[in-house]
Amino acid sequence: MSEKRQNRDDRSALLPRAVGRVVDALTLISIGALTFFGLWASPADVVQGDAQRIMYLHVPAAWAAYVAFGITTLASLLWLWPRTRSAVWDRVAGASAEIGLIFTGLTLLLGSLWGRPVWGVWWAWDARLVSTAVLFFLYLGYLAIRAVPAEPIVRARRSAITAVIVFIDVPIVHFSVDWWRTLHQKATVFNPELNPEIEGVMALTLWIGVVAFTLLYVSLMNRRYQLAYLEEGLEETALDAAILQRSGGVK
Amino acid sequence: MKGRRAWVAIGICTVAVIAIIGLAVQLSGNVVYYRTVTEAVKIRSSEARFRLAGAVVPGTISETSTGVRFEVTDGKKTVTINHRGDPPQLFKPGAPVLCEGAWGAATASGVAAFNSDRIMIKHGEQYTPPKVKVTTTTSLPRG
Amino acid sequence: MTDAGFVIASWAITGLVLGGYALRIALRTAVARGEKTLFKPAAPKPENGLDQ
Repeated sequence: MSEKRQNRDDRSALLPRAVGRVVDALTLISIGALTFFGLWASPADVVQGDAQRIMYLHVPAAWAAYVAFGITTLASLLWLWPRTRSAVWDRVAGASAEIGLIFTGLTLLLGSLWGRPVWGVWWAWDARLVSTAVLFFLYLGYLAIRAVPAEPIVRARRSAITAVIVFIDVPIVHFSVDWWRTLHQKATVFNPELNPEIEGVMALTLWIGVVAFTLLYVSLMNRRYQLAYLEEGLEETALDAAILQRSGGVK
Repeated sequence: MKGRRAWVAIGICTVAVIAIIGLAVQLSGNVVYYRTVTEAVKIRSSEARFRLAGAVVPGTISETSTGVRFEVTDGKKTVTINHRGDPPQLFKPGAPVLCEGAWGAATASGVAAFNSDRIMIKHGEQYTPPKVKVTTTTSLPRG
Repeated sequence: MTDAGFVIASWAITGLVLGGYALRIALRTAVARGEKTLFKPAAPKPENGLDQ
């Protein structure tokens, strides 16, 4: 039994063990650096004061959510294309969407905490905030669809198509600040002119945040994928057991 | 059974897409989150509530019994705001603000003021440490 | 709440959300590997076992 599990474990990881450990270590180091730079080394903003430091978490969290949903979409397309179809892509899509949902929820929470001291309100019904909330519920719906029991291939196809459809909201979220009038500011870094409106230590801190959250995404993804793989194995074992029991009864 | 599940999935996807399209149409066509001062003065006779965006004109802020009175401008037009309640933390001369409320009745001088009950600060996308001398700290034009 | 309070709260919430999620993955992984059980095993395994 344990030998079989060990076998499954070895094939289950997304990254080679050594690479996974390096990513984990770099994630922790960069999160430490982000905390040091975000809370101490970076200066407070001239307009917003200390409250602006929330940016160093809010922006990277939003970035990580974009990355996660992008990977979900890419993996879903690779599943849909017959030549690259593999259960691996289905697991990647599901794992990445769940992580993306966590980052989207975090982005909304952090945004609210930033909005109260700076805008004066916890929430505003503007295009950026509403489209982000819609994004959260779309991917919640995607995960609900994944949870509907079905044959693996049926479930994977259904999920892949849904993933491609719900991704439409990601560019809407990103460009909402350019397309509509919003209370939310326009992009500081990834603006249409690609000319970051932030410099020096503040810009450095923001970049550390983006790197830290990207590494964190990879680290979480590595683990969440393995979990998906192991739980699929359990489902199969449970099915085998049920069949065995039934055939045993007939015997 | 398999067919029914597929229909449920397709149904959910369709609802999601309709929701997205609805959102896009709603936000682009109908909902204008704020109006500039120039746009706002064009609908001075309207009693509708809306949000008015402008920069606080320095030297015009005065406390009233119920809150604060000040002028905002978009660089072309300037209007007086009567705000009920406390202004937010970052409210100061030159700050870019969104005031939520409606036009009041015209005064003896003939010009209506805007009665606001909520002020939000609309900060820009530029970030700078305090020591650097900045020319623009707002995303809205100043008077 | 002061600005510093909001900043501390934002770091704390980030730690709780992401730490909680990582912990949940770790726990579910341990359960899936059979290292931990959250629920009582349903029925005793049949004699012929599952390893065949």
